[in-house]
Amino acid sequence: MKKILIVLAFTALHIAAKEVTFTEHVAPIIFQNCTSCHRPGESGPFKLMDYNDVSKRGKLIARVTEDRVMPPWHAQKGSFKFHGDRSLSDAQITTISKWVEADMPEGDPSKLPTMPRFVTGWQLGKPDLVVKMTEPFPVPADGRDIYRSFVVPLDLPKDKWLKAIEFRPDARTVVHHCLFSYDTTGEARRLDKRERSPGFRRMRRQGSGIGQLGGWAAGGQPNKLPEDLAWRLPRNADLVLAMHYHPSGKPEKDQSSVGLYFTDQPPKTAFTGVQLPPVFGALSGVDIPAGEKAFAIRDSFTLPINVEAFAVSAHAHYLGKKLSMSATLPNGKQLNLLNIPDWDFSWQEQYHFEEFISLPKGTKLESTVVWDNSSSNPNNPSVPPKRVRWGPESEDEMGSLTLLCRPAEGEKFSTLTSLYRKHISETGVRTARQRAGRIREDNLDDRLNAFFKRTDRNGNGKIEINEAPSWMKASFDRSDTNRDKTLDFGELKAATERLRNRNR
Amino acid sequence: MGNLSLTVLIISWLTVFGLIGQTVKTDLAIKDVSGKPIKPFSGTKPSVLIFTTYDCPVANKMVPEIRRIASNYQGRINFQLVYTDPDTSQNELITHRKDFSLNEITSILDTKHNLVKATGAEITPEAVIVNKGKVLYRGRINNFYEDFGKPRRVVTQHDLRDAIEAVLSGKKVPQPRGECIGCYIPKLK
Repeated sequence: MKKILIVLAFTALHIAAKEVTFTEHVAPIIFQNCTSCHRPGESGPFKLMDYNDVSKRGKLIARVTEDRVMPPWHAQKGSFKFHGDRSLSDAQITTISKWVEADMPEGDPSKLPTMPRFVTGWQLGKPDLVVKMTEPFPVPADGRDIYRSFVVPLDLPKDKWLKAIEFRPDARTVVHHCLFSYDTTGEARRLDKRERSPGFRRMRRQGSGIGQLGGWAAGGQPNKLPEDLAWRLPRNADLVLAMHYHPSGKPEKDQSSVGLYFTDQPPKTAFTGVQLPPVFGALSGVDIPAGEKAFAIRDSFTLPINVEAFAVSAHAHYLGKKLSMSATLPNGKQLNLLNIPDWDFSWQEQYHFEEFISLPKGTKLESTVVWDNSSSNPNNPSVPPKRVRWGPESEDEMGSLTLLCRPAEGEKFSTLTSLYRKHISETGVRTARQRAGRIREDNLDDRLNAFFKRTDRNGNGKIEINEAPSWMKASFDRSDTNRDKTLDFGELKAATERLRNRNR
Repeated sequence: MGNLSLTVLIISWLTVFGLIGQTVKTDLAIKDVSGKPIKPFSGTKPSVLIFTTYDCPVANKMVPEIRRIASNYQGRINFQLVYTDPDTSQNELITHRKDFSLNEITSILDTKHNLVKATGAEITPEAVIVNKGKVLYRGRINNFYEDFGKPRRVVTQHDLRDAIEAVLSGKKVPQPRGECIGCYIPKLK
């Protein structure tokens, strides 16, 4: 019986393998998940719209889907569904590879699904305001990636409630991602004037008068803030576009556009980002030794009120490796909010949950950022690796995860924001203490050295019993761990450490 | 199952390296993109062929390095660019060569895969060195791409340049130290 079943199973598999065709099985996967970018005028480097396009690239498609390089989506399946999740299921990936193995049969043309109706141009409809980089920026044929910021005056007549920003890249092969912010301080204009070529390196200041407004990455879909939520965009705000360019092999000029979507209806509640560790890790002592394969920083924060979360994002530079955020509810239940096991700094993205997630008061949010500063990390910008500390340049490091949430109904927003501000200052104080502790350790070494030199009167590198001061003689034998009737520096230090630990 | 995958692995390695040292016809005559008759493997200088398509993003990102290699070894090697997609239109070819500043480099549209078959090329941008009718190297240009979607910040291994240097100085030709990442060349139907 067992044998028959096995034979039947194999026969079934055999038939299944035979039956995979383009029109019936593969085209639905490609049309739904690939063609939105892989069509003329979009970011994909070639089109995937018919049998010829797809079969020509069949082996490549099988490989990059198996490696989960395409479609680009770096978050693992977590506790909640993300809006616009582009990742394929294991079954879909298997279907593609079986089809390629079977030499890519086209199948019955009548089974070909109709192509989804893709929106051309603005995905969110006609924007209320369209602005463009004020001048084209030249991107050379090769060399390292380029980070460049551009200021775009908005000239708003009054404060506006902003629901979404949609980004339309101009030089599609080189524009990789763009982070949006607004600036009311005039800083961006000043920096822009100071540099001769278009744009400027980056915003130096953060804080009051400057605000983040999300971002766009190649392949990403624009999102409107959910329900009634909106950003307040002040009247005198300039838009700042922080662009990331990848050279494509030929010189390009980019002058990308941005569409803004407003609402007249003010939101009932404000929302905020709980960033862990705060200030992109600036206060957490990010100091990664050269060659270190897994340097980790962890941070946690317990929610003082009930909140509703709607998005989560991660940020790190080249050396980031793993970024994750979890929540432990007061009843002990663990939720996986975002897990990026193989961080790729090229795909900075905001992950919007399909629905609001209720997190009750007392929920512990925990984040972990792991960096890989070894030479085996292909993203390492330094060969050989060098010590890397926190900083704003792409070859410095940053690292944090941010949960965007609003207070649940009836909750006070300020209870959350004031406790979070306290968390920021405590993080700074804790790091400062740890640093001070390290300095005290360093001083201990110096002091021990000086004491050793003073006491070792005959200068043979050892303290004999007759050189030892009387208070030391009492514990001399116990400290002489190698039993050579003398104390070397190591034995002196070990004895001192034992003493210190006992005193703690 | 384990044995099967091992066998597949061995066979694929054999096919990869089986063609190294294989011979090609030195009198193979074809036409370059301008219609000029050429013999890609003839002459006393080693031939270096780069296989490409106008729309392979990995191959395109490598173009500046391809141009640098062509100019660094100018006069010492017979450098040629081979477009492998038979569907490429004249217009696409002209635009690509102009946009990527490739007009100075001898280019061939290998419509019938004469060169693909002769050398065993499988990927764009794959490099092949042929000297005195023998394939001495086939594989990646450098380690810019560690894997699909994983470009390196810093290129640390210049496999093709090392191989060219070895051929020019008559030394044993080092083989590529890693997989050639790029777009697979589809077999002609």
